[in-house]
Amino acid sequence: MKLKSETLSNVLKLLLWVLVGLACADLVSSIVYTASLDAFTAYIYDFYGFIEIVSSVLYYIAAVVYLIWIYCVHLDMNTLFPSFARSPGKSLACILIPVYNLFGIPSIYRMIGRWYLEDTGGAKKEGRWICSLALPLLLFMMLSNGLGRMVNQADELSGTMLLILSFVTLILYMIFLILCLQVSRGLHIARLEVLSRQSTAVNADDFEASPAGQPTATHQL
Amino acid sequence: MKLKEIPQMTNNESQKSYRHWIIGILLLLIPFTVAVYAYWPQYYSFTTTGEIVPMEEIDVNGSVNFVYVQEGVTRNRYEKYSVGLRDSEAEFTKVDSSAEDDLSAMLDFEEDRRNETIHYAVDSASEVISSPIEQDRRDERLQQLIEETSNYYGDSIGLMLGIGLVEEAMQEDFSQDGTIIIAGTGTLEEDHTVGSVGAIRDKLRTAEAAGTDIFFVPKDKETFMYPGLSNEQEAELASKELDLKLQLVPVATLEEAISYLRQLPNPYIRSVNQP
Repeated sequence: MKLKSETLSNVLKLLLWVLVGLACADLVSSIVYTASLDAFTAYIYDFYGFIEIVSSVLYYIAAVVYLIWIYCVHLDMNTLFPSFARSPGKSLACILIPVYNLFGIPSIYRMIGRWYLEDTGGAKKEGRWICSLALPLLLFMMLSNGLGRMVNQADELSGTMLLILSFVTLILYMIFLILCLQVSRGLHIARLEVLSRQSTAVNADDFEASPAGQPTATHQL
Repeated sequence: MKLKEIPQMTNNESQKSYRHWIIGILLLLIPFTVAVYAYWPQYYSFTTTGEIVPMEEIDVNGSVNFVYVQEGVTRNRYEKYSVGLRDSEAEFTKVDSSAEDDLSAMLDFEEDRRNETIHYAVDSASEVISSPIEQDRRDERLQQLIEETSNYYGDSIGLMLGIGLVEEAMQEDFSQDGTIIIAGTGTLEEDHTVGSVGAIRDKLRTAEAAGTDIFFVPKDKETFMYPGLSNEQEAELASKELDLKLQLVPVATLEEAISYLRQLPNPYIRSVNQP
């Protein structure tokens, strides 16, 4: 049994690590901007612009990969947990429908986390992480959007505002990264548990089928 | 006995373990390529609108305004895009990489020209009001005006500064208690004549956007010695093309501008009080 989301999980992790790195660079630039505009203009301005362009484009690429990843994660969840109640299509609807996504986005992670907590033996820690990050994710997304709009509309760029925005963005990317790591790790553990259960069931069948009451493994090499 | 399965990576699985690296790096190449494209050196000079500035802001007790516009050089597509985003009407001209050095050299030159025109404005105003001031007071005033205008480059402040200084000395108010917005551009020379300047079109757009009623331009149709349109011709053309509402007033000397303002009817009604 192969996880459909495995490759995309790895790709998304890579993109998110780079985004976190860029957000750190952005934060450092904002600190310099707040501390000294002259130093920022002399040493950071060009670098900052470059970072901004890479981050902006990468953000949209990561967003597309993220949507496909969420879809695949739900395909895997449905395969591993037949009673899992949310379809891949519905999970995308939870993210993409405006206003409804205020409830939808945290609910996606709460549901995945709850399933890890209740239906797995080894992914409980991941489940707890995911459940606890569901609400902060929404809060930081809203904060980041609101601050981003304020910064874009401001006639004069306030250093403090820019610094807060950079910090919030960094935290948001880190939450996304932790969620991606925990969800994919949980899926991996759940997959191993399902494989182990299947293997145990096969062994039990073999044991019951033995004519002399002795366990044999005639057709296994 | 059950033999333990030894997980061995097949060729196919090995390829798959590298697959995410290949996809990830290819995806990462996209934003880096965009950033390199945006930052690739490509020079443009630009001019765009600025603001009209009341004389009071440079500590002259006059009611008229001078106009500044913004000029600069963008070094790449990102900077050009940023300027265009801030002002959709900015006009760009492709230039070579020496433009940046040329601009800073021009700024130094323009600083000298600004100080010179301030010097002439102080002297001309003093002569127009027939009340010579002491050398010490004159020098002090000159130094103060140079400091107050240190954020601006260029000599186009001359004419309006001259008018403002006359208002200050004679305690006149050409704006009729702020009901008329008077602005303009043009240098002031030693003999009180008004000299030609650049960026007339952008200055007119700036003045119009600020609700200016009367706008002075140099009367230089006969004296313009550069290729292309004189300030007066360019202003007339721009006024028609941009359908400006402001009253365009070409003047040759400081005295002509002062006379024009003194004969304005009170109250002044726009579009009725055409000269």
